[in-house]
Amino acid sequence: MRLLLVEDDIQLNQQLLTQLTKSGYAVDVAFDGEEGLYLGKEIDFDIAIIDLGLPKMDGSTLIKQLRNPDISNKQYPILILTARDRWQDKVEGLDAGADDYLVKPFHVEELKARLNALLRRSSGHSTPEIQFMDFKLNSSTKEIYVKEKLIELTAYEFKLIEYLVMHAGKVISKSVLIEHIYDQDFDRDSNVMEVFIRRIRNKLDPDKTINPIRTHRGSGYSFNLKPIKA
Amino acid sequence: MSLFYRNLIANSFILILFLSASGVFIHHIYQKDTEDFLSKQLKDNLYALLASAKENEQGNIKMPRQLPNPELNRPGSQILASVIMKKAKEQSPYRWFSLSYKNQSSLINKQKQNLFYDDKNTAGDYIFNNHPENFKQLSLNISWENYQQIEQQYTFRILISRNDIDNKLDNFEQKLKFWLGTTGVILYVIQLLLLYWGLYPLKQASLEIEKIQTGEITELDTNYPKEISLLTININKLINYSNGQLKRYRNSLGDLSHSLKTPLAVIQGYLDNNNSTHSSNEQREIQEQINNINNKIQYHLQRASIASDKPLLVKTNIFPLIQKTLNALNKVYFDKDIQVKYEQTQKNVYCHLDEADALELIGNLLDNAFKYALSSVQISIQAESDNSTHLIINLCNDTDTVKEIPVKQILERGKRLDEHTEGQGIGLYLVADIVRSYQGELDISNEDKQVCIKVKLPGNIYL
Repeated sequence: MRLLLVEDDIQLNQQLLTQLTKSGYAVDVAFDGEEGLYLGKEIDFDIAIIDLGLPKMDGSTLIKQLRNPDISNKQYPILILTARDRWQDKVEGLDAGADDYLVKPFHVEELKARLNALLRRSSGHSTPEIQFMDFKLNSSTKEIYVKEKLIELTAYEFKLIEYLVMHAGKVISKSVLIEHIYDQDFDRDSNVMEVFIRRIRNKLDPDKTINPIRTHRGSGYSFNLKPIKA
Repeated sequence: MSLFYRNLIANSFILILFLSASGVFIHHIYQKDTEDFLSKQLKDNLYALLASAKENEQGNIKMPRQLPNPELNRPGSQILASVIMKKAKEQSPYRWFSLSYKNQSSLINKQKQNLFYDDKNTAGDYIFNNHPENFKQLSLNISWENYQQIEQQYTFRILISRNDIDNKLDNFEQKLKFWLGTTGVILYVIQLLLLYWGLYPLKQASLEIEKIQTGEITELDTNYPKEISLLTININKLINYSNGQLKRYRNSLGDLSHSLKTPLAVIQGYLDNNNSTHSSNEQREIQEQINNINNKIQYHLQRASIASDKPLLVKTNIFPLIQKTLNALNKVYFDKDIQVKYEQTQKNVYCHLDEADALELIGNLLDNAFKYALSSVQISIQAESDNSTHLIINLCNDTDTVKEIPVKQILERGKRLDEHTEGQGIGLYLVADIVRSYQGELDISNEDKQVCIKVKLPGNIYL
């Protein structure tokens, strides 16, 4: 999942970058509101973390600009970080278009849980456990079960299948998949994606019975199973 | 008493005083003019009488039968004349009365002295006096030297009835009263209009101040007469200063909170990332200190930013704030799928609460309700009135997490409702602080797996 992190404190920014990258997010960072707006407008992120107290442009204004249909019209979920405890700041941020808030200081685990919940919600799922017939994905534990059997996946493999599951039914191009899974410096012309897909297919469906990933020639891939519960 | 009535009473008093004095003055001038005219008439007739006087062979005055003024020749007329000679030794005095005296003998009887020469007066003096039968009388004593060069004294008298001039004066008085009364009414109406016009800017300023309190406008119009523009400009400055100061103060506290909590977040991150390098005791100790510092920052800074019941606070409509907070919390607690039942008895309730304080109060209350609710939250807002109006916010949520916790403890600083639920535990304490600073009441009940919080904010409720 591609994540935008806008936090002006260098140490906290780096700390979050490290932690979120470790958790499998492709993170782009910005240190002020203007930089955040530029990135937020240019890249189609899956989620954003925005601090309210930012230099150059405050967090609330940045969120408004990102949500404004005339400026960028971005609909990805936004989590606000705030050190200000007053409800006026929280409500202002949420009213501007954010989806959740987290007050500093916070546990990284709590932040990750909130991000997961927001991603789940944005894809229309209310619980961490998403089930498609014999296929089950838990976004909290980062585990996938097929026919009740735990499937061993690498972090990148999980990220890829998770992205497809979160956008189930939609055709996702190879370039979009690369953009949302890897960092910016990844070589987009490589055929790693085809290798990945093949490997995931073999792991998820060794008997070729459920066919979870469908290839759309020249367009991309889609998650092919029907959900049991949202 | 209002300025309008003060001015009205003062102006009415001056108006009555002015019209009364004008009436008396005008009446006095008119009366004097009329009296002067009558006196002149008396003198003219007296001169005509003197000019008509002839001397007979004995050297005595002899008046002609017919006088030039026909009124003196007409019996029963309102002008009378007489000439009386001073009695000298055994000589019978000469007495002449005009023909107009005919049939009016009662006039002489009423004032017998008119039959005689007036000894009290000096010759040549014009003596005016009033006759009992409503006549004005002019007497003149003259010393007549006849052709024998013997001086003889005579009193020439002219009487003119006052009836005509009295009628004229009465008519004038009636007309004067009518016109002064009419003028008074017109002036009173004009005065009312002028007062309204004159005091309109004050009324306008007062209405604008009310609008500021309802939040319709943020400052007074600057287009006021120069007499009160200084006042309105200063009120604007005071409002801006007060609001600006509170805003600057809160921003500074917010910045301070940001400056203190961001490093705390870094420390927290460091602790979370390096949990393997610290023993569990060390980790617990550091975590505890982080929580303590965080709670102290949150509590003291938030408490310091409560505006409390200041006189320049605007009226705040709390319904939009509740709706805004509900929208925000529905996002935050989306996964809990809380059913919200929201009742409001009035369309709008404005209360004398600072908007930030109101939002803090509502935010903390609703956040707690959402946090601890199992499935539902009920809110009802009502404005009640007994001796004074007050706003009542009732908030209930179903729960199974709060059990037998005394109210005192819930309101105690740092006390968490449920150790397993996230939260700093000072939200309700801040609510209690805000309620206390506005002289309100807070009540918490916990029955049948339902926690209810009742906030009562007294006075200054505007529906």
